[in-house]
Amino acid sequence: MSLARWLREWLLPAVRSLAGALLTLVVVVALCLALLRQVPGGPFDSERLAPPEVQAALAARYRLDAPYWVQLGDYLGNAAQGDFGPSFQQADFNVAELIGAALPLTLGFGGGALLLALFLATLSGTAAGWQRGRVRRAADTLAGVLQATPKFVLGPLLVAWLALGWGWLPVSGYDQGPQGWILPVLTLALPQWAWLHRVVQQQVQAIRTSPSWRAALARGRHGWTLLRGDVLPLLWPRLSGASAPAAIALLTGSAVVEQVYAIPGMGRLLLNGAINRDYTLVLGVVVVSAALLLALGWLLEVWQRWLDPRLRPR
Amino acid sequence: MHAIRRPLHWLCAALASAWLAAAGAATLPDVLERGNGPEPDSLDPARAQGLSAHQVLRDLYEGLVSEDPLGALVGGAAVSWQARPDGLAWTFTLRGDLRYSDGTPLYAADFAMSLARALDPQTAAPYATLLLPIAGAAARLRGERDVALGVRPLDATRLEIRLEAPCPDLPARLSLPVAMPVRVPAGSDPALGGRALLGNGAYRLVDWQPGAWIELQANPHWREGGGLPIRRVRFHVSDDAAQEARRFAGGELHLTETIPPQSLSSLRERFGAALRIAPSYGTFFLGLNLERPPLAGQPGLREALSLAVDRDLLVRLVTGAGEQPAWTLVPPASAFAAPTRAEALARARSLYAAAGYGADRPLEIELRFNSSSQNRRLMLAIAAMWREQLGVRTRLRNEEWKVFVRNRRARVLTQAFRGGWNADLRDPLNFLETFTSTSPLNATGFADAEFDDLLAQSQRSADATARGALLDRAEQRLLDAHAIVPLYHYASRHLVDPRLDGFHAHPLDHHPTRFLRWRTEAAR
Repeated sequence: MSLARWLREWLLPAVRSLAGALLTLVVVVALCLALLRQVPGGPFDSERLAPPEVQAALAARYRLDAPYWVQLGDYLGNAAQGDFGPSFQQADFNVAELIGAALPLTLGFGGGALLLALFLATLSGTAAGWQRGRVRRAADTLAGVLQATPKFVLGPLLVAWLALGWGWLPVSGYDQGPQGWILPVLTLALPQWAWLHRVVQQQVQAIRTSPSWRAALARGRHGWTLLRGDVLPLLWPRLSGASAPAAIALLTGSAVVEQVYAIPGMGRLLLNGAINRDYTLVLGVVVVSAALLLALGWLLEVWQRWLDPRLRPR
Repeated sequence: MHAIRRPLHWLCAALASAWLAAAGAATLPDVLERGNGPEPDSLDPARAQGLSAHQVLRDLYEGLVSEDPLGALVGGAAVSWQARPDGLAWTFTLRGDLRYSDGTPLYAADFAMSLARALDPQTAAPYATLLLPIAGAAARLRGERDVALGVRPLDATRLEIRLEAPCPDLPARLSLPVAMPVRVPAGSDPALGGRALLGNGAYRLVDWQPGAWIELQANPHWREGGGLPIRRVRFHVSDDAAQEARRFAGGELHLTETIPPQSLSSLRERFGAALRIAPSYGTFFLGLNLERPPLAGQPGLREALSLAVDRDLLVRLVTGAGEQPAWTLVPPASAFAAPTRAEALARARSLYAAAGYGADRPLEIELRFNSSSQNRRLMLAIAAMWREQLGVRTRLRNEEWKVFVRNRRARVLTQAFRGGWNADLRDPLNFLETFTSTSPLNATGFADAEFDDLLAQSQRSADATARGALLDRAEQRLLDAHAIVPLYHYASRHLVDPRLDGFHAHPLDHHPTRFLRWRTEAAR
């Protein structure tokens, strides 16, 4: 590959999307800060009211008295250096520390759930798309039920059945060794599986009615070669495209599962931050989540361009 | 054959008994796992505000005054204390062998320093206002550093505290975390906050996993040294009662902070003797805004609203977890002689009519509360009682907690609103103080010079009985003005592992780990 072509096809789009991502982040912070300032009730509105001097000291410590543009500028400057400020609510921690403790858990549980869901969906979706009949109907019904079951119902049901009923697994997900991971990952993965299963099944069905399929059959391909050569290569781009929304749902929608299994992850951090008007904590979680999602989107874009030459710029 | 088999028998028996003993011992955990409600906001005793933080702080620190398992005040770091006859100065005599958890000796000067730190506006101690009786405290809290604080070490083990005015409940105030001694190690990182501080309590901090748990270990320099039955304890974040109960049922917690919202009978069936319910020193009430229509200047109408509420029904059917019906603000020592339902309703109807309301002109009122399913059920029940008995039209307004607190304090939008108080101290004054005309916590706008004066008089009275009578009179004035509608007195609810001993009902719901131990018979 010539250097000019490499620059055009790979480096230039990468630089462009990086610049776009940074701009998006700044806009996200600016919007989020503006919204937080509009929310009624402040971080120090509590049942006990501090004397005015103490309130003034707190306002000065957290720069609550500064105007919007100063707060935004300070925040962006500090965040660029990895300093997300002190937490309003948890006086003994700063935001970077809290996120540092929560992020690995959310990424671990979410990543595990995504892999499990992708694996299961590939198996079940291909099987269901290949043959009509009982397999397909059973998988369809199960996917429908799981998609309709909220996680705050599914989680406690799994706990009541597998953890309390049979005593096989611990009730909470954190700090209980590897067994503790099984139920939370399962609870996170099942609704995503239900959705991905349909995606795979539809794609396999679409492949099976396409002209290329008939051409492959005419060439005498069958069984494993047919699957490997003519189905999977057309399935991967669709599946990797569909895994982006699944990853976003896992990263941002984990609060319920974290609550059920007492996991101190990002979802609960964001939830408690919002309830406590912990502005710095909310901003920190939003920035880190947004950065992760942008990075994920960028990786997927590169991956899809690698899979599908039609997507490369000319 | 016999000669050979006998030793085998012995061996089997020995192995079996050893295995049994090991299994028995293994049933008693090394670490006590406690559910502790929401994440503690700080482990700095001066800065901590939440009750969950205070529960941990009472393990990590000890004030001059401490409490026994039932809540009676006993000596802590101080063995004895004495007030001067005029009540304006107290002398505390400390134990001679006090140490911080790193072994550094602890003297009277440390207490003077810690109190000065708590009264520095930069520390922003939420409970600092409870130390205001100390001479110079108010000025210090305003930031006037050159004003002398009335706390002075007389020698290594004697501390003198001078007061602005007599304060008979000073020892109780000094048992609060805000008055506990802290050692800030030289060169410690200020970003660590309360994690860097050293205490003098029975336990010391080992690890804090934010959002998950705080682990403490027995403090080797604690005065009772090796005598602590529980050597390690973990305070788990358990901000969801249903999840906490599941973890208790799965054996992952040995003591919970509360119980899930279910009927008492189903909980009894599920948890049996593990369920512990006790009255606690706090009251749930409705506050009435005395400054705005329609309740301003209408004491009769306010009384009618109070009388129309069937408290027995509320605690039996709506809350249903051991609460006691309330007719007073301060939980009474003996049962309160409540009016019969028929009497109360007859009087409520005549007062309602006398205020000028009736079927053709019903009272329209807004009832404001912070969003929670329990509050919603309660407020719906109260609105239904008002409608059924008086024909009142109630509009329910639920608000998110911080918005609600701000609106309630502003007294502009509110008419009737959710109120409640869990006492910091076992003292009626702690309830009544929140209703003085100058208190920032007074959300009703109740302002009565005689009430304020009675509270001030009670603080000048050295005699406990006379003081109690003055406080009773003050409370009666508040109740007669019908600024509040008392609904019920709170109850503390816990699930306690049946193998755990030493857990007692405490009116303020304090349960220091050092009083807990495993039952020895549980191991056999």
